[in-house]
Amino acid sequence: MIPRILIAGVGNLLLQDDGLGPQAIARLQAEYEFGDEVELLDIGTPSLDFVDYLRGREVLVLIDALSGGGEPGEVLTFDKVQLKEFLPNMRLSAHQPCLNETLHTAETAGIDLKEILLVGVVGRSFDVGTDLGPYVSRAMPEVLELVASFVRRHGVPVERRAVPLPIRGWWEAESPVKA
Amino acid sequence: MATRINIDPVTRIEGHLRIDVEVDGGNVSKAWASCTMWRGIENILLGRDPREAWLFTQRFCGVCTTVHAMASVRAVEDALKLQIPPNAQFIRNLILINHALHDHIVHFYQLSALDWVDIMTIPGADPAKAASLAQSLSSWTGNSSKEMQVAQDKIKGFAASGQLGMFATGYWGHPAMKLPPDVNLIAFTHYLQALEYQRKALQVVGILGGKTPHIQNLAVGGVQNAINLDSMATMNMDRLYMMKYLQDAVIPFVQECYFNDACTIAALYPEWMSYGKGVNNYMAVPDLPLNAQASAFDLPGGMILNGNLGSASQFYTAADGEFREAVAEDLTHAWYKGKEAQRPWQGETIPDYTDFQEDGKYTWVKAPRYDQKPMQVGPLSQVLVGYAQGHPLTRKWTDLALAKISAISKRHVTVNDLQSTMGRHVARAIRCAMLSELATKHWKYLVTNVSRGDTATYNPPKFPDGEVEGVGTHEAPRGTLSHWVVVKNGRIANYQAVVPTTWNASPRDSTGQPGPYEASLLGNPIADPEKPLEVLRTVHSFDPCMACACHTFDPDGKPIAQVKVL
Repeated sequence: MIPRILIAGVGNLLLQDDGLGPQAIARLQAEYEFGDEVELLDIGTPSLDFVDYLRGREVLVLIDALSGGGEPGEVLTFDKVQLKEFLPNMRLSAHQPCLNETLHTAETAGIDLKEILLVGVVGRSFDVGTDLGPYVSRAMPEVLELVASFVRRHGVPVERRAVPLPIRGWWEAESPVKA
Repeated sequence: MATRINIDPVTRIEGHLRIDVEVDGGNVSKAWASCTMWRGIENILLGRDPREAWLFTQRFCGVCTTVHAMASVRAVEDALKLQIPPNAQFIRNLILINHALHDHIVHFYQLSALDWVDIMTIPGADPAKAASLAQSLSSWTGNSSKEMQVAQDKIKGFAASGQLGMFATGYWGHPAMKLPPDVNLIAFTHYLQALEYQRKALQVVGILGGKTPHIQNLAVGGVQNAINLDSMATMNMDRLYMMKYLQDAVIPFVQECYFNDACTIAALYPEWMSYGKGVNNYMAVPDLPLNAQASAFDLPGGMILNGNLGSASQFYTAADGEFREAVAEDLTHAWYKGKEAQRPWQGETIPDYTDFQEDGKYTWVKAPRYDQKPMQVGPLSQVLVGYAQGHPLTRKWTDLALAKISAISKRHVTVNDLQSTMGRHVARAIRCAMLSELATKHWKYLVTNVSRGDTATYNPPKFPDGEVEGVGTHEAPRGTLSHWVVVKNGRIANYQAVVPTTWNASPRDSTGQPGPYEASLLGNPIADPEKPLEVLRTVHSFDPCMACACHTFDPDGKPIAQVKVL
């Protein structure tokens, strides 16, 4: 069975604040227990292949960095109706990743998501690096709690682990040594 | 008086490909391709363990995850002169083949077909007639009038609701759109089916790679798949047959549906086999190695200069001695410091941003050159190089395509007509059909080898003291990809990725030679400068993928790209 709730972390782990989505997924896995109705997915920077992960779901939670819309570190949420208003735009590069295009394509393919929530944090630092900048870093606990309470509202008991599992992110497996 | 058109992505973070053209007398007279985002992402690898580099490189791009992972392990293996077991070759090959099948299907239907197919004419189509036309053109089983009806109803539904959703921003009704409504309906019916079939190919990648979109089974020295035909937990017969079942579904879609649609659309837009040639030096590296030594390949590599197929030369290894010496990146018009063209191993990535200066620096893309020549890469290069060498599989599918296009268009179409905007789409379909045959072949290689009792998948790497250099190549869906690594005392001292889109989107170089995008736009007709559909057609024919790195969602809802007529 495909878990009916998908929590997808979107973004590029190598570009600081843009790594919010993947890093949040790693934290959620380590700090919470979601049970088997929920799948946590580090989707990275997908193109239209993201559509494939939406089949069979009822609820989609997206975690992503935002490039505007508020002050750095501000947490903003968008629901299905709000997201649908962002129409896909003309593409020049055939792979400009855009979430709205994914959601519209999913609809065209007959995928019916009952509810969508995007939890975003306005980013500030987008340089090359695997560490979140200070603004987004400070917002992380709020993001995790928002996601957990949203999932609880859908009848899934989400527990915080008494002792978090260690996060073994390969990106921080070893600090680089100056060559 | 020339009109200047600027197509520019305007969001702050997602800045990607920008195209500027000058139009004179209805045709493009000058063109610039610019990437508006810095690609210095390789710097993150400096000082790291080369065995882990592939985990980082597969995050360069969300579309091309596996290809960057593969080029990375190959680069480190090349530096160490490390061979990998045959099973590892076949497993890697199957991942690459299935990734490419998915990628080509999505590119043709979801990302470029609507440059040619006006879906707003579909309500006026006749599903029964469309079905019988489609059935006369191919044996594909998804051409019933019921399927056509479902697709038509979908468009009617969008139109009736006044919300075009996915299709809100196309250039519908543009004078360059020429297909009859029934053909548009056929194409859109297949567009919907393509969403199903591309997914099956990705599922094969998932079975072998452990996970998608970021595979987990690679290692410097081979793959991490444990093979035990009797164990539930490993690569066993059940999984191998699951893969075969998925591939067997994708293959007819590619050979009977996609291949046929590409030929049909080409036949109905004959003028687009005369636009968009551009740089006619072509390059491809050999791929799909057949043994541990990687001394034989199922896909050929080589070069063609000045569009002369008689001049084709051959690459015998994945990174020939000549290739290692000949590739250098020119920085004259790119926003980097440095005067001399740099070989990738010595390459630096030090930004020097100046703003867009059409005679100066105007892009973040470096200009890779081969012996100082700009090269076009991608499926067209792959097909022409194979065709010129008499490679049987390339010949088979190319000749089939040329015969089909000739029959439908009632004119004699030759391999040289493929050197064009439409030719790039046809070549991609040819390559995809070839790969679909090879999917079965490499599945058999793997099963046969494993059935013989060979379960080896990994040779452990040993890092020498001192400095070694390696280059790993992959002939990816968009063309020649090469990763260049310098390893010093077991750590990465330099890393450069020369990606297909860098070759194709490259700016002018020190001698003023334009890159392939720029050159291919010259002479393109422009019917309406406010709606430069023709520019999109030619640029999309290369399947650009430079939008890889950063993914922030922009809640201000600004358009991703805007067109300005200056």
